[in-house]
Amino acid sequence: MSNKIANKTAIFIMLLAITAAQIGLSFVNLTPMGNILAALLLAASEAILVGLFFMGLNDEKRLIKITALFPFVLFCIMNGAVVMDILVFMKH
Amino acid sequence: MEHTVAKVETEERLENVSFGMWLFIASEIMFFTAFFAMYIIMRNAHPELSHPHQLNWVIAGINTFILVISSLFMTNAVNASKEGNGSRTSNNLLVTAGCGLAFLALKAVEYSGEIKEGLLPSTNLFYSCYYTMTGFHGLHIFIGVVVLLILAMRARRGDFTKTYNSPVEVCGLYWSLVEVVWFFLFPVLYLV
Repeated sequence: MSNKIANKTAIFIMLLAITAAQIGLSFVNLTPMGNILAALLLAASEAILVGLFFMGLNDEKRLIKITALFPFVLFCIMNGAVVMDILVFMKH
Repeated sequence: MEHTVAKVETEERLENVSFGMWLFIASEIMFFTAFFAMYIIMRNAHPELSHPHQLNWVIAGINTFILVISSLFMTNAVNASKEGNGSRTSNNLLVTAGCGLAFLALKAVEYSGEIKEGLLPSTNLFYSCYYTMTGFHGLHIFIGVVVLLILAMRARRGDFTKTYNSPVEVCGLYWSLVEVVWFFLFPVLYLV
């Protein structure tokens, strides 16, 4: 039990550290699209941490894991397509 | 003479409840995905409307901290309900609901500041997106707070035992969902 609490505290600290990194990165100019992609990547890492450890996906059965993964795949496809479309549009 | 029978959940029912909640979470993620796609398209079409840190990112940062803390209390509540500890479950649920209320109060402060400056949903496309996305997220937080308060009352009454605690567990999943959505809203709207 104490091990579990230690894990949760470690995840809590990691989430705060990632949020701090997001705030710090927002003051660095990586081009507008670069900044958005960096922010989305950091947000995705936070979502993965919460999903695995706070929502208990780590210990769930395969069906639940697939159900949880499915919308994230759609999220990546949809937003990836939008970003690609914008990049192609900017090139021309 | 009244007889109270402790509820017992079968393994199959627990799995079904959990699966149903995960399906709901999947549909919610897709709901917000459409908003993010809309925002990225808007931002590319009208880059002049938004620039980094134009919204009150300090309040939003504090709200992120509040949500992360609340998830710790929510997991404590889930663990306590699995142990059949009603008072500990109730206390943790109440603290989580308090964090949700604090989040909503800060959101109201943020909104009132913007409204005072005349920045309304009708101001431009950026503010339409901002109010829509944060408004729907706030509505989810509000619904979560109501459910948390009801569950806290039930936990205090001793409704949850070692063999029946799925409502608390499912509520924990929902609360994590609103936290995950905020993790995306915060940087995309407030920081970059």
